[in-house]
Amino acid sequence: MNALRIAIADQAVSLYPQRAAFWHEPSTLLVADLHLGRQQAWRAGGVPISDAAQIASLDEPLQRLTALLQATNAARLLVLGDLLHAPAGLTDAMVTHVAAWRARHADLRLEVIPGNHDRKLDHVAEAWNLIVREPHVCEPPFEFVHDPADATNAELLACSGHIHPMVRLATARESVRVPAFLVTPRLFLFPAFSGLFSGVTIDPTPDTRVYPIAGDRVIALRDSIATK
Amino acid sequence: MEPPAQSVRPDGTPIPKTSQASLGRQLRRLRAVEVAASEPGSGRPGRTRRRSTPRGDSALWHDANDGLHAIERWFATKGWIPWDFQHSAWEAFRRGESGLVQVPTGAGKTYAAYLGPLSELIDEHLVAQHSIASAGSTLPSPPPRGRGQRVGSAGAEIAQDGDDTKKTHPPAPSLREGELDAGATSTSLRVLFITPLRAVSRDIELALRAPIDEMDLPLRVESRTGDTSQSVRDKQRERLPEILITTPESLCVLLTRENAPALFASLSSIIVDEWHELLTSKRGTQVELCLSRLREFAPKARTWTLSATLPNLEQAARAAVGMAAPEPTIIRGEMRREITINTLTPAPGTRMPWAGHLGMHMLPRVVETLDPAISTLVFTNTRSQAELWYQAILHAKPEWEPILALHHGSLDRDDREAVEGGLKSGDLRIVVATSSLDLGVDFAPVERVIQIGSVKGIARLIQRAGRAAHRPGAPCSILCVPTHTLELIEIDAARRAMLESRIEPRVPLHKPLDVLAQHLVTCAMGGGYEPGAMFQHVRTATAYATLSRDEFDWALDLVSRGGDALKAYPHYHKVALDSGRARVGDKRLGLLHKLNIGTIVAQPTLEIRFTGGKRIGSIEDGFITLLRPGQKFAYAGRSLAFVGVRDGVAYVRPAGGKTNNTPRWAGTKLPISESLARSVRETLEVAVNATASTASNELLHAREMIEAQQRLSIIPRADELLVEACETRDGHHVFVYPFDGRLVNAGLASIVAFRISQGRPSTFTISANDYGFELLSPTPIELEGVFTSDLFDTQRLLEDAACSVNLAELAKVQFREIARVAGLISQTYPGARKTGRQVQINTGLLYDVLREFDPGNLLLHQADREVMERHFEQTRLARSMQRLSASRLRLMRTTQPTPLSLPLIVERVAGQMSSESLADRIERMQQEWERDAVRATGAGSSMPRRQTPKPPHETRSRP
Repeated sequence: MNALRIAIADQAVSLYPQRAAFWHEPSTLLVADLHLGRQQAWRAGGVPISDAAQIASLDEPLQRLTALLQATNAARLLVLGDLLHAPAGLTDAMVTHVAAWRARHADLRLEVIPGNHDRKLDHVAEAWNLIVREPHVCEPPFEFVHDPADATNAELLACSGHIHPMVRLATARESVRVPAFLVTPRLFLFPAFSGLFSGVTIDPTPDTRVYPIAGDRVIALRDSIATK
Repeated sequence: MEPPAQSVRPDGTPIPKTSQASLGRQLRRLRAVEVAASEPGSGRPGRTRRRSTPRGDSALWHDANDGLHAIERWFATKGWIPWDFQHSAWEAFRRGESGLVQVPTGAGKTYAAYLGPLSELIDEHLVAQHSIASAGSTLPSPPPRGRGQRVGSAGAEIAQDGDDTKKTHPPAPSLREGELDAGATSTSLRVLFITPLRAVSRDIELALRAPIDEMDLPLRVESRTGDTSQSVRDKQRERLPEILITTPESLCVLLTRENAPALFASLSSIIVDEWHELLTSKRGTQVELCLSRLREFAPKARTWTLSATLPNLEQAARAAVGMAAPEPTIIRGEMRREITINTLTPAPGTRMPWAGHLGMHMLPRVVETLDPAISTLVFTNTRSQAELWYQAILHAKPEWEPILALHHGSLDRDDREAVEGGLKSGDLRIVVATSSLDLGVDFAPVERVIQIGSVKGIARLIQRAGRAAHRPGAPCSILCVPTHTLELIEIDAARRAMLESRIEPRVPLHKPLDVLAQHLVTCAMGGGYEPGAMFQHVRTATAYATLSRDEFDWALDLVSRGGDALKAYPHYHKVALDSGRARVGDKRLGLLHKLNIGTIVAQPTLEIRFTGGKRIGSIEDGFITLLRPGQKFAYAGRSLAFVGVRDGVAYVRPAGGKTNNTPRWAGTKLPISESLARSVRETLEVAVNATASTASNELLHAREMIEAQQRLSIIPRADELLVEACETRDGHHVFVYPFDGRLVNAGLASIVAFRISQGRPSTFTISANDYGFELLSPTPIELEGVFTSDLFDTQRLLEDAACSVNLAELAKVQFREIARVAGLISQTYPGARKTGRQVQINTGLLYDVLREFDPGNLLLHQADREVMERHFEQTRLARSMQRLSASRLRLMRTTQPTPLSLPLIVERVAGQMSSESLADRIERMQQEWERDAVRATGAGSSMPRRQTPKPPHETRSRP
């Protein structure tokens, strides 16, 4: 896997193009905004998505997680909110399917910071063997939250999801819009782990470091450019 | 022999004597009209009266053609003489034929189609009333029916009735309500008039009612559209009037009625107006399906359709009458209307620009031409252009405010109707409009039409020119205002094409499954159906003539079980099989379906209101999200300041001053038509050889540009393809000029870029206009050996087109419409309104999911097909490529951009085609930024282009 290893707040962090970051020291894999069960929620709303398509759409992020766990050998997976999409998406088949995946990673410590979509998190906590954390988790130098607006500790770097950031890169002739990790002096913003989302195009401020995901690579926009 | 029981009402109650007497009076009045009209000296001038002798096959006691004669006499009382095509249409109808009447707008086609059916109704009423009358003994006994005996002249028969009846001529005022009800012996709907334009239904109603009122016939004419009041709808629930005017959508709603088979069983004729407008759209397909359903209920109903001039009339007529009908009769109203095309040229001493599309430099000339004494329509090509021109004219002539108005499709309907009313009454003298005024409402006072910018097509030119002097046979003229020099050539080309009658054909759609899915639910509600029989009926619609049983079953499965997917979700079962018949059981689902009927999918728009609450119109939410509170923009001819969005409504307040910030509406700009494009190529060749004495006014004014083009490069002949290359600081440009309309040029650009980039990773920025396209590359592009005829090979056209553009992105947009029409997504929920944006997000993501995990879904294939056809005009693209591969290539390297290339450079609408990996591209872009940063010596930003952050899309739909 093509990871980009960088230093954030003097910590070694690897950014993966699979939209996850690995914090080396406490061996923690960080992801945000999985929105599991989204397709199930739609179907409950009457949108025709076949059984096979539902399971396949659920499997895709789980398989990506498995590959990331194998590559990093992480001991802990910390979800920065929005593990679930909607209560209606928690069908029996869906819960069972994720539980089976969880059973294959029994040694993994799975912690979730509840996001605004995670209203029924308690219903699956046991089946999925997950630890529901408080909305702010301070592990200096980071404070983990779902919504960047929830960060409380000005001393710490807030790590969050919720926004689903994208950036537009353009010259006079061409432009591309891609998901990205963004690092500002106060904030470490994660792209949505779920691929089926249109994100929000962020206009980076001059002190923002931008790490766009270009296909199978994460690219560091050169500081001379990114901080100009 | 007893007369049939006409003396009872349909519900079985006897008709009181008094109304029978009144029927007798009506009958006498009618006959009196006929007598008066047939008296010597009252014959119409210039026409021999036709009087057919009674035929043996008529079982009626009166002349078999009495109805027709009554119509002719009514015409005479108006001082009108029927046109030949009207007579032919009436007679064809009475012979039992179906078909199409082709005449220009305003030439009396409504009566051509309508009076045939009406004459038949008159026949029937004469018989019916005779029977009632004889039962009431108010008339001398005619010979009983069935004896085959005939009284010589019907006129003589009535003359016995005495003088008092003659006093009622000219026609008496219309019947009172009570009489009307009692007099309506026909039990239900006989004539159905379908119009695509809800706004004109009122005018049509008046036109259809006029002969009935004036001949004092006991027939009801009513409209049923989205505007019909609830009380009228309730009355129509059990019984429809004899003559009903409706729109395709309202017809569908009527077809969802449980009693639909009974409501429509007595239908004898169906008239479809403006068929050329419906034909190419899903609304047309929907009408085809509705007609097949109506013919199922009323197998003898005849279909007549009205169309403007089309070169493919046979195809259009067949689409209207269906596959099962005999050869349709086509009646052409040969009324050559003389159209003069004039061009407003720049003031002497000023130059016409070589690029630009707004045409504001022509404002002084246009204002000079405008005259409040002459009622004028100023047509533009886009809504934002209309806004700008309205503002500009008002700015130049503030005193015209009371007589100047703006009309386009996004304005509030009340405002639009007020403008239409003002035009009709003559209070408004100058109206700036878009295609919203192309059709329908007859604005008799309009004397002059001005077209700003390209006319785009021959049919459109004729249509717009016809808005002036909207009377049969009257000559009309259109004043074209070119916005840049190439449009001068285009105007000359349009005139040539018009003289050769090269009008664009209109081709119906090919089995859109979303429309079928909607129809299957509609019919399941309206009486249900047996699937096998339904399949046969659907196939009588030409759009579905090649529908396979598998495809039909797939669509039925989609609406009955949501496809394979939703077996476990009972609430999704819209249609259920009930002892072999497909029906809709669930009332709530039925209601939801009715609310979502139709094939017009609105762009996601926000209503726009003043803070006080007054509605102004609607605006695309994409534009609103770019506005900051307090920012000014021009809308509905006013300067407005944006206040904010609340509950899906954009609030604004009036702002002073002038602004050039106008909303953009998504409606894609029309490309020039294929026949106009061809004519442009030919005209360019003519322009080269034209001398001062042979050139048209337009070509003379374009001369300077043509000479400059020849100095720098060449003007291609009609059988040549010009390719130019030059380098500027933007990069390496290649310009190619197929002159084939913007969509085809864009499609060609993508395919050519894709084919060039095969084998050599490169990135092109692509732009296209009606004349040609540009490929712009950061690295040099070779011409020789690269630009060959092979680039236009039509083999692998589909595959290459699919690879060369982001087909998935375009199909995703298209899928929004398909999902809505097929009923996968509801646009309206009772009680809970969804905003357009939410629908868009859902369908976009639904598309992604289906594309990735359910690739066999037929609606996805339809989305791909529709994208190819609508975005690239695929069939036209293929024809174009064939032409180009046979053309002689002229490769020119130029030192600077040529006049032909200027519009492409100025109005760059960029797309991209890249065969590089995303990572490589970003790396190269970074190098470019660094180079630019050095060039700019550190001044200014070298960051990627800044984007205004938008609110997260998802937050609004978050549970």
